Amino acid sequence: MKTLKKALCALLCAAALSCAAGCWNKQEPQDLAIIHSMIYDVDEDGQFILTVEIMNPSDTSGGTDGGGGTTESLIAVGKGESVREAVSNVSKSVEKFVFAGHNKARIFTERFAESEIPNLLDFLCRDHLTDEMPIMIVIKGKTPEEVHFCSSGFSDMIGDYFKDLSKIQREHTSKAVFVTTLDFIKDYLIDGKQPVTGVAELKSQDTPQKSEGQQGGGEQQKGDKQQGGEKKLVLYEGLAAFKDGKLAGFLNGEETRAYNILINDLGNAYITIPSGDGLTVFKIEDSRADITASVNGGDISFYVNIQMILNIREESGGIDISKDQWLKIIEQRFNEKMQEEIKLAIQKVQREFASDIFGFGRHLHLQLPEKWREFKNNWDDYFAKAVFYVTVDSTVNRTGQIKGPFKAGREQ
Amino acid sequence: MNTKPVITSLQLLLIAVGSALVFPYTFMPILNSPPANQDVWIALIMAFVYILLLNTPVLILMNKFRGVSINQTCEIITGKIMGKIILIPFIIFTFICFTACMLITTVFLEMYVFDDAPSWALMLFMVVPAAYAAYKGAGTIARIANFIVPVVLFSIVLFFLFGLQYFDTQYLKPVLTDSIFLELNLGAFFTAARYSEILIFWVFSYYLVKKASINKTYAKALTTFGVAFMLILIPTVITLGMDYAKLVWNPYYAFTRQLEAFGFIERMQALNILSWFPMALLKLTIYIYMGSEVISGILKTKSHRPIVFPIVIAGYIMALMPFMNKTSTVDMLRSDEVFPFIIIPVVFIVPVIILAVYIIRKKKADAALKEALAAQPDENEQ
Repeated sequence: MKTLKKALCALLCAAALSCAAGCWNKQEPQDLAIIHSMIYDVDEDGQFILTVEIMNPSDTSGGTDGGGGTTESLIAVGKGESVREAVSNVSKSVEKFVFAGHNKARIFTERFAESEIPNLLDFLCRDHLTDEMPIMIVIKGKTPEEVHFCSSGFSDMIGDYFKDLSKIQREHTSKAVFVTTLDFIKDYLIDGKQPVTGVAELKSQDTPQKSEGQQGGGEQQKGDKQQGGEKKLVLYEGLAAFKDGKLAGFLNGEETRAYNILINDLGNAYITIPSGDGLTVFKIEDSRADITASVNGGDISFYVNIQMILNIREESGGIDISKDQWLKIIEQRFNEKMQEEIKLAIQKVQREFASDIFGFGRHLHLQLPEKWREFKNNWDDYFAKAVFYVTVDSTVNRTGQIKGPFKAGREQ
Repeated sequence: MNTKPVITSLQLLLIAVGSALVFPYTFMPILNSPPANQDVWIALIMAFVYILLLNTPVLILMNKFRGVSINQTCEIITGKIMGKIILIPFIIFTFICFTACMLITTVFLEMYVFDDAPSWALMLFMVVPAAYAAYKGAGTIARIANFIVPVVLFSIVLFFLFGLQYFDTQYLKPVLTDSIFLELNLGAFFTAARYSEILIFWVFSYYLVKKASINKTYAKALTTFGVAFMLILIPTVITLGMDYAKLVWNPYYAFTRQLEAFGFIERMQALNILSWFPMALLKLTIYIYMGSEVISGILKTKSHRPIVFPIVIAGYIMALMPFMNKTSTVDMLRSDEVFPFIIIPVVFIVPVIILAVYIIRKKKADAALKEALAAQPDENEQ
């Protein structure tokens, strides 16, 4: 009897091992076409076009000789009456099981973003092999599929490029947003805030025979992959504003920085203002926007008070920033510049998009919940008419490793 | 000699907590109960008041009739025939819960993990181990809970810690402005009405080691359940947002799917499945065992074992019926329209009736209890 029990136990353990095979289900990893990024497009006839970037596992291993292999990812296209059908039709030219569980970026053409994102989200939320983690990006231009053939910095695949950019770009500039699918879904579903996505743009640039790497404006090149002639770069800056799931318009880098300030999600930002015969460059160390809503009859006002802590990173105007009275002056100039920048961004969104991407409606809901019930059904219309009072109050805390102006050292 | 198994206070606590956590871990019905907004956590706190109220009759009966089984309790109070009849709702309850739980588990497995696997195969994989554990009896179930439930509780704490970076407490605001008192109470009541684990106490407390206090074990189990439920509910809401959490079938799974740490810990939903699935099997086991134990007490069979397989086969066939194995059926089952109204009669109405009869026939019942206790072999002291 004991032997029988042991045999049964061993059999059960062996049977349990059958569940351990494969990656996520019965499909073995080598049978998967692992997607890294997807471009969603729709043509004039309403046909959905899906361009997928598939990882080539044999090229990413780097080999045993220690040399890194160069990845040539596979690009495949599927067309169909619906996005799901287009996904299936990718199989017409791919002999493996299309697997989107490792997708890094969902890229939308402007045409697609104008109307189809809520329908796509329905499909994505229903499907068990997709998830809410990929970044959502609207790509500008008429030939978005070229993104897969552009220079993508040091990354082998454009999906990795965007993913890595999301980790690092905020450390340098706050002129873009990195919005995951979950962020978009939450903003789309919640009352009082409209969603946004990041924006990528392909930019042609004639390059010399051998690239020197970084160029002005942060444009990345990959000299050893494409040499000479016209090549396209993928620039990631600005944001795409949505209204009820439909693309409403774009904000540029500065406006996006204002957006990040208003939603209290600013990474690092450098602001340059004229000073004397040169420039003062500030780094915003910390920023906190306090928004107070006020309702008077049918008039809605928001008082936006932004507190910022600054560091001075460059002062080439000959001003002695070790003196308090000079600091006050440049702080004042900084405040005026930022106030203007933020006001203009709000005005643009109010007038051109009439879509509350900043989430002022959420503030109204939190602060005046009784009043919110009156406005929530047509909130974006009220937002477009709301009055905003913006004040910026900054303090310079640090001025770097030298005390007075660098030029003054020579004069002494 | 066929000795009565003995279970410890901790084991009973783990059985009750494990069983109670399956539904929040799976589909978190509280999210769609009134007020269905950011005040849901307040409704959860209020639910514990209702749970205590609804469970009081059974608690009184358990304490008063400590040492005798649920069947003996009913027979002592209401008489031999009525004692059998009054337990029929209990048997129906365990059968419905077993079938529904198996169905819900299957549908969730198909939706989230094995979309190609046939339902009959998934159910077969569930009922075989569940039937075997139920066949082995209360002691085996208690020992299984000892292994499974701590893992589940650990996973809840782990997910909470890994989720910290994603939390946005703004999703819990504004507090108590969008809900009215009646809605909060209704939500609390429906949540409380889903708590049927007091019946586990009623059946399993018969095997509880004598020195353990039922009330203390119950209080600890309820507290553990409450804390674990909060640790499931709050992170889900403040990560997914209330609107999305309400929309998805399995919000806690969707929450765990977002978690990443240190750039290499990913796909933590696998741990969710690994914790949840054995817990769901434990719940099935408990229902099979409770049903077979009570039927065995009615039919006066030597043991519950011959009853296990008919229950399992009937539940398996029932769950495979085309009208049952549909998402719309599961949606109805998980809503506030079904389960609370199955549970309330068994957890509250029937025990209140029994309690009322006991008060009327107190003297006779007390004498019968004394007699029954005297006839009990004193195995708990082994």
